[in-house]
Amino acid sequence: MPMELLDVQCGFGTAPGQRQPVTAADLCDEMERIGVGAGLVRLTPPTLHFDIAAGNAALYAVHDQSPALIPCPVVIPDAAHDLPSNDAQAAEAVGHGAGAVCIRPRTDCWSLAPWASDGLFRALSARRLPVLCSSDEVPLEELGGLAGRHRGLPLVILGANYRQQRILAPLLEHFPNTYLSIGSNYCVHHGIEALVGAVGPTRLLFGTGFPDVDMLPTVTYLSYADIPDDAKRLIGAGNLRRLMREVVR
Amino acid sequence: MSALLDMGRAGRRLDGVDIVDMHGHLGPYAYGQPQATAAALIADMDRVGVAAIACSHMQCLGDDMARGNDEILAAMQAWPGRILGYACAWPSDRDSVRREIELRLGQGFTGIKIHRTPGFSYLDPSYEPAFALAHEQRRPVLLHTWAEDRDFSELRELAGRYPEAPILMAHSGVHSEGRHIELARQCPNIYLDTAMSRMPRGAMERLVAGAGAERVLWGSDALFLSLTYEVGRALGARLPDDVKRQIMGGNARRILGSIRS
Repeated sequence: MPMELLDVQCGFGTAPGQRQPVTAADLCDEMERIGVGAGLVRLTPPTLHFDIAAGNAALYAVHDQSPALIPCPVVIPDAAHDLPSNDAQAAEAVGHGAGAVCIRPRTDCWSLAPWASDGLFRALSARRLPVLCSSDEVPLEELGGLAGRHRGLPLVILGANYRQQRILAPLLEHFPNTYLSIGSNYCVHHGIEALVGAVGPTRLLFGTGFPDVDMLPTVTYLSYADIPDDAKRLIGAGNLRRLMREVVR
Repeated sequence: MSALLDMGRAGRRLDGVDIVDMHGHLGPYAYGQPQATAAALIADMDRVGVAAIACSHMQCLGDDMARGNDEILAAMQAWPGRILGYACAWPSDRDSVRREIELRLGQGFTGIKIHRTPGFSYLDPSYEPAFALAHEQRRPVLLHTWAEDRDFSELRELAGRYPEAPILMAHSGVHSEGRHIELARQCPNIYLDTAMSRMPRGAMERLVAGAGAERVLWGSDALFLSLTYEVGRALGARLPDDVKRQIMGGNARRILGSIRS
């Protein structure tokens, strides 16, 4: 029985310089080829996808067609009163079957300062909605501050760089509500083994980085890791399934 | 269907596949790899089924290359045939480079590794004895590159000057795939090494299609990066399994088999 894989770091969309978009069908084809059962999907890269209402609607439509593509919509603090309320955004995400939400403060031009964003994070905490934070959108130092202020809110680090091991390890150790995708660009020699040793297997999540990169490298990073099989199963799918189960719907 | 993809997906040891990794390292680097030991690297190779890895020491990016070479030698002696050595030399002058490289090749090192971090052009006269030895003995020279203009121009020049030396262009395809392919087509002794943390999706297939499978070499960059991660790029490529075998080992065996001692 092959290990179940649930991808926390994948998506589809159009990138600058790309003549044809990567479609949801392309993502499904690759998931089938590699043996990834489901994915928490975003529109990626964010550069051209700045209309979050349209983008989120596209994710929900894809989910209706392909239930294995679980939507991960973008949320933005309603700090400037130009958007639906924080509670309404969280409710909309949950209502459409989102498994998590994604924040992009750099792309969407907002601040993680408490006075500018804590209303949103309180609304997300109330529903225990995991928040995906790409490391190029949320510096790890700021993520630590956020994790300390909202200790009931699961925060998932995406796109961590292999050179950040000395920041990631203490971050995960200090804040039990933080989780790390092992997808691109976390390709640290014995990184999985070291972090499982430091914080246990429940804090790592399988992710790939598709469509920027190929899927199989993260699969083999996990499948050949020197950790017990039950730990691999947790990382492969179990941990994210649990986080999604705990969302208050 | 790909049997190799399925084996990687399942984490099964790749028995029956002769895998030679032509881009490896030993020793610690600035960001602190966990378990930065030769024993940990060998353990990874055993789990995956990698027969051998050609390594330079991380000091090839540092200031004590002789110490790095000593540590590589110790690993070569501890794991004969599994750890192969790339010798490095600080380019103080031609004589010192010649002495160090001759010493190391005499000790059983396989090839030569040169990095950009010392701050010198690959055309620096101090490196000439190293390339000359590689040419005479058909020894592989692994050169760090990152698709910079000088990488393409300098490697083109070196490939022409030293046509018997297999020149391995590290991190090919990080971007500007077309330029890598063009260079490989122009220079029959240039090989495209695929070790990279974030290779664009499908780049392996495009390099093979453009340069030919016989000119692409899989490498892991372990233990600077993870071998278990990097092996997935080759196993998962949309290529026939016999082509994967060629780029994961066949081409390397051909280069190693051509060395004249």
